[in-house]
Parts: sequence; C-alpha cells; structure tokens
Amino acid sequence: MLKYIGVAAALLILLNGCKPKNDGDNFDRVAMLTNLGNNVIVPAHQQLSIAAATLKAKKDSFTGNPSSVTLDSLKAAFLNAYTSFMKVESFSFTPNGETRNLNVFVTDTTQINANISTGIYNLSAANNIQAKGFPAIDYLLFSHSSIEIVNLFTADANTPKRIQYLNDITNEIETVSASASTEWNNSLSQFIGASGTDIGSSVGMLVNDLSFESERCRRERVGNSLGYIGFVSSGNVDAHFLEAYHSAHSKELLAANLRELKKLYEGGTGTGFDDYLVYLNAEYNGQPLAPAISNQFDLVIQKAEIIPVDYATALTTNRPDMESLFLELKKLTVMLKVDMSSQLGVIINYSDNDGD
Amino acid sequence: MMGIKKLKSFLFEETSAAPLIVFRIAFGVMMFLSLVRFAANGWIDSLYVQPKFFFSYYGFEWLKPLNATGMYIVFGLMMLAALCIAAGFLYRFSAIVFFLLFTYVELLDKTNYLNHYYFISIISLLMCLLPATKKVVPRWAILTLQLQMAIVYFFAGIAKINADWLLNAMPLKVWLPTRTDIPFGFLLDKTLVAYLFSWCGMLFDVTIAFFLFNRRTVWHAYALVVIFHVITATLFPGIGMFPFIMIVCATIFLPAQFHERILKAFKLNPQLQIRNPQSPSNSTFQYLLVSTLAVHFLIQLVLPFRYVLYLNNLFYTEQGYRFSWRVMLMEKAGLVFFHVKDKDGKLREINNRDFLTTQQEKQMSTQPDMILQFAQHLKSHFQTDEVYAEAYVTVNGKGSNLFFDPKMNLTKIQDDFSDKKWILAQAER
Repeated sequence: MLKYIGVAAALLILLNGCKPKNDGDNFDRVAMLTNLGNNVIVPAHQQLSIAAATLKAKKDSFTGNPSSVTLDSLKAAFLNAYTSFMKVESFSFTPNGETRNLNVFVTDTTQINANISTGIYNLSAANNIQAKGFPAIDYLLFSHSSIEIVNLFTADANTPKRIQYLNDITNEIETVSASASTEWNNSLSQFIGASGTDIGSSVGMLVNDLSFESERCRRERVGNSLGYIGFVSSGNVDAHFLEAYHSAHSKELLAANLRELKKLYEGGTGTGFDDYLVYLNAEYNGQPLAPAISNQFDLVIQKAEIIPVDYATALTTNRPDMESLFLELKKLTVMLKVDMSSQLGVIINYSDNDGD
Repeated sequence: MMGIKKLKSFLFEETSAAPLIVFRIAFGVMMFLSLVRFAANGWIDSLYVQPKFFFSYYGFEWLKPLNATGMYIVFGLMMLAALCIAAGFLYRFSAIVFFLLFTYVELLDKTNYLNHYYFISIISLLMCLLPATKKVVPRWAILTLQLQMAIVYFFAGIAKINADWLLNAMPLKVWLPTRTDIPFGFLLDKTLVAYLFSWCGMLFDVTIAFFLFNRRTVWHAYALVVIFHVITATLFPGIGMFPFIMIVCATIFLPAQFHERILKAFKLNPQLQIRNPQSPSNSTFQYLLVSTLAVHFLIQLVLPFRYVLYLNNLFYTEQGYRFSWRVMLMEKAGLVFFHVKDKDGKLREINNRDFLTTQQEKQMSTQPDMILQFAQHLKSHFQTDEVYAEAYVTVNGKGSNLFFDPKMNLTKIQDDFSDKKWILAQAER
C-alpha cells in the first residue's frame, strides 16, 4: 500500500515539474472571470441600479404632479430602466434570486386591475408574478393615450390605489436592482474564485445563463407571438405575447438583450468564452466554433433590428422576417446549449442525481 | 473427459464460506446505506413520484409506478430486505424480495439507467442462488461473484479501447478540468494528465481481474482497486456510491483467512452452524444451480457485443449501449424541439418540460429510443397523427449534428430492436 502511495506521489511531483512546450496548457479561467465580473456584469448592475433609482424619482414626480410632461419623462425613465434590465436579466447568480421575476410576461392585466381595485395583494406571491415588475409598468403607463393615463392617475375612482400600486411595483424594482448591484460588488471575489467548470462554478453558471437566455429570446420574445410555441396561443400570430407590448419596444429590448449576451460571450474587448473555445480548438461543422457563435450573434442582432416596424406590426406585415429571426435564434440556442456547453464540460440544467 | 472431471471437482470442492458471508453482510449494509442516501436526497420523490410520464423498457411497458405512498413502501421494504440480507435472517427470501423490488424500480424508467444499478440488480439476483449463510460452501458459490466482478471490470476496460478514449483522451480531457478545485486539481487541466488517466484507466480495467484472481498478486491488486475507486470518487462525485460498492464487493477476491479473521473480530463466526454436514456436491439441485449460472454468464459474455449487429456508430445511436458496462465513456449532449400537428393542421412546438422532468428531458435528448417513446406519448396526448422533432446531438465534442430528418413523422416509426436506419450518419470531422 505504502509503495503505491509513494509511486503516486512521485508521479504527481513529476507531472507538476514537467512544463509543456506551449506555455499555458491551462486556460486562465480566473482572468476570464475577472474580466467578465469587472467589465461586464458589475457595470451592467450599476447601470441598472442608477436607471432604477431615476425611474423611482420620475415616478415620484409623476404621482406628485400627474401631467403629460411628468408622464413623458417617467415613460422615458421606464424605457431606459427596462433596456438596462436587459443587461442583467441573464445572470441567475443574483444573490437574492428575484431579478428574473421582475420581467415575467405575458402581462396579467386582469390580475393587475384586480390588485388595484381591491388594494390587497402580496407582490411576492406566485399569482402576482405576471402582475408586477416591468411588464406591469408597461401596462400602467402605455396601455392608453397619455391624456387617459394622466386621467387615471388624477380623476379616477381608483386613483389613490392606482398610485399606490405604481409605487409598490416601482419601488420593488428599485430595491431589487440596488441590492443585486450591492451583492455583486460584495461577492465578486467569490464569483472569480469559483473558477472550476463544475456544478456551482461561475463558468458552469454563466454557460447555463447564456443557454437559458438565448432560449428565452427564441421562445418567449419571438416564438410565442408567432403562434408556434405550445398550446398557450391559438396557433395564430398574437402580439399580446410580445415583451413590452404596450410600449411597443419589443425590438429594442430584444436587441439590447442579444448585444449583452454577445458581450458576455466575448468578454467585451477582454477575455471571454470565445477565447476559451479558441483555446480548446472547438469546431462546428468543420469550422472553428468561437467565431461561428460570434457571427451567429451578429446575425440575430441584425435580423432583430432590420425589421422596419415594431414587432406587433411586423407579425402581420413582415412575418417572414420574424420567422427568419426565430430560426436564427434557434441556431444560436443549439450552438450555446449543445456545442459550447459540451466543449466546456458544463452540465446544462443540472438536476440532482447520480450518473455513471 | 479428464478436464470435465477436474473442473467438476474444482467447482464443487468445499471451501470456507467466510468470503461469502462477509460479502453478504457488507453488501446488505451498503445497500441499506445507499437506499437511505437515495431517500434522504429526495430522489424517490423526484424520480418516481414527480414524473408524469415514464420511459418504459421494451417489453416492460406493463410495469407501472405505484402512487407516492406505494413507492415509499417499496423503498422501505427494500431497506428492510437489505438489513435481513446483512443479518442472514430469512436470507434467501430477503434476497429474492430485494432483487425483485430493486429491479422493479429500475425497470420503471430508462432515464435512471446506471451501470451500477444494473450491477446491483445482477448481484442481488446471483445472491438469491448462493448459500450465503452456510459455513462451508462449494467453490462455485464464491467463484460466481468473482466472475461477475471480473466481467464488470473487463468489459468496462475493453469499452475504453476506442479512438476517442485512447487517442484523443476524450471525454476525460473535457471532464477533468471541471475538477480543478480539489487538492492537486491544477494538474487536471493538463492534457498530459487526461491521456495518463485514460490509458491507466483502460489498463486497470482490462487487467485488474487477472491480478485479483492470482493468489500471489491479489493483495497488490486489491490495493489498486481501492486507489482507483477513491480517485474516481474524488474526481466524479456524481457517480455516488458506486466506487464504494466496488471497493466492498472486490473483497470477495481476498483469501478466506482474511474473511475468517474479520468474522472472528466481529464475533460473527461461531453462531453459524453447518446444517448439512454431508457433502452436497452430488445433489441435483446444485447441478441445476450451476447450469443456471453457466447460462447467466454466457449471456453476460455475449450481451455487451450485441452492438455489432447495428451498423451505426455506437456512441452516437446508443443501439446496444446499455447493459454492457460502458461506464463514463462519453460526453454527450443534445437538444430536441418537438412539433405536433394540431386539429387545424398547424404545427406547434411543444415545451418538453411540460411533460418531462429536467433529468428525463436531458436523457431523452440524446437517445433515439426515448425520443420515439416521447413522440408516441405526444401522439396519444394530443390525439394527433403527426409528431416531428428537430434534434441536435454532439458526442465527445465533435460538434452538433442533426440527429434525423426533422420532416420525418415519428409516429410512423416503431421502436424495436431493429437497426434505426433513419438516424442520420454522424458527419465526419
């Protein structure tokens, strides 16, 4: 027994001593995570928390003095915050875990109206998940003309309760965004330290997030409204399934989300997953995988933005363009979820049980 | 004829039952602990109560899970049977109960197929046939367990003799770097180490049984068994109890004196009486048992080679993959988009997770027989005659491949043991 331990120890020491010719047999995941943490994730959270604070301030000025002027600046602050939110939505690591709940659509307008008229609701309850966050504000501020909205917030039977509801859902966005930003600052070293690729590692988590988010773009941001997905819709095009349906900002949000995913993948100008895949010589259809994924990101961003009208209109006027966007998003999902994850040895959708 | 006579006297020669008794006790205790761990992890619920659909094995569609209470009772009885096996109480009856219940649970869902569960089913089946409570047993009783262990190692070894494993160090090259967080983990990122582990793993598996059978090398070989399994347990915590079960089961190769000392140390030996002092070697019952075991081992030797009957790439199609001791051989991932035609003739993509658990979806995505089963389920659920799937699979980092024609109506395809010719060839890269 001792003999074996001796041999094993000698082997380990030997291996440690021998340096391969190309310097850096190891990909520096710590450098990648440091770059992603410092230059992608933390700035995105900072941007959101500033935008959410502005949103809260503009909401206060609007509810203090509802007018078309204060409404317009509230709307602008809302769209800015919503767009900023697209940059952080993909990160499941947000320690309080509530971030994703701020953008669950299709908006449940019936629930929102019920909450307002009763004045009794618990925003953390499961039945309110589609009645709060950005989709709910989108409905409250954009579902009618500006004059009518101002009227609902000044001279309606439910005005005080409506103001209260807007207060509660806006403040929740502000609180969650601020705490997510703080938590990321505090746990950045922990994030960089978890530099393996196993379950619970930062790489494992980010690859899962990239897959999850690209699938969400395909399915929820485009597919549902086309009537392709499941039996939730009638099987016909239905604009109500779009994100930010009332403000007609689906296109801008999708593009912002995809740009951020690309930035996360490439690490901006620093080290990212593309460099990791280059290091691994990963291939896709006989070509290098890393640039193939970058090109696919460019393609879907281009396809998302090239549509000349808002998506609700495009569903009828530019349907082939929407379908083509849907198909290219599917390709992106396959590349991230199957090819990239498999090259990195990352388990997608980890579920707790034994394997062999 | 001399050879047969020799073999007969070799097989039926009486020998100390101590190795078998220690094996029986250790196996019973290990099974009990494994089941407790299984239950404590909530897996009875997540694997056998939560799923709305189960991937039956061909020919075992009639086996259905019980309700939650029923499944918990099944596991409770299994734990009880494991303890009875360890105690030698109603031994043969307990072994049969354990084998039947364990195998029943395993047959409920392909999703949960693991080589080590298959191993446990087989060992418990063999134990039903062995006189594991006697003081003196014929040699074949011990040889049976040794041979089964040897088959596991040997076939696991020859399965590793393939280009990916030996020439590309795949999948270890991808898996090892995921464990750089353990002590000495920085080594695992080195390509050289992946090659070293691949080759050593193959050589170990192929040869270890021969050294375990040899009296002069058995102790060294057993030390290697312990080292090997401790390393695999450290590198791949996901394989659960398997390394420890193998470490315990491999004691069957150790000399009888060792087991006798263990039994003495625990004061377990004296209570066991020889019920039948007369040599049992010429009883018909024994001949029947040995013949049955011979058939069993013949099947064991042939079954892993059934894959040659199929033309496609084994790892890619997995035709003839299960029940062959192919352990941790490939990094495979897949993604399937299912489409069903609704009453208005429109194609709808369904969300797999509406019907399957995470684990079921993951297993189904890479295995064609499960894709067909799920298509049949969708057919009856939606009362439709058209189900299509767009499936992408990658094996050992070769890049995603379209698995089969997405325009092929899956409801028209029978799932049986014939070659699945509709699977598209894996692109040469």
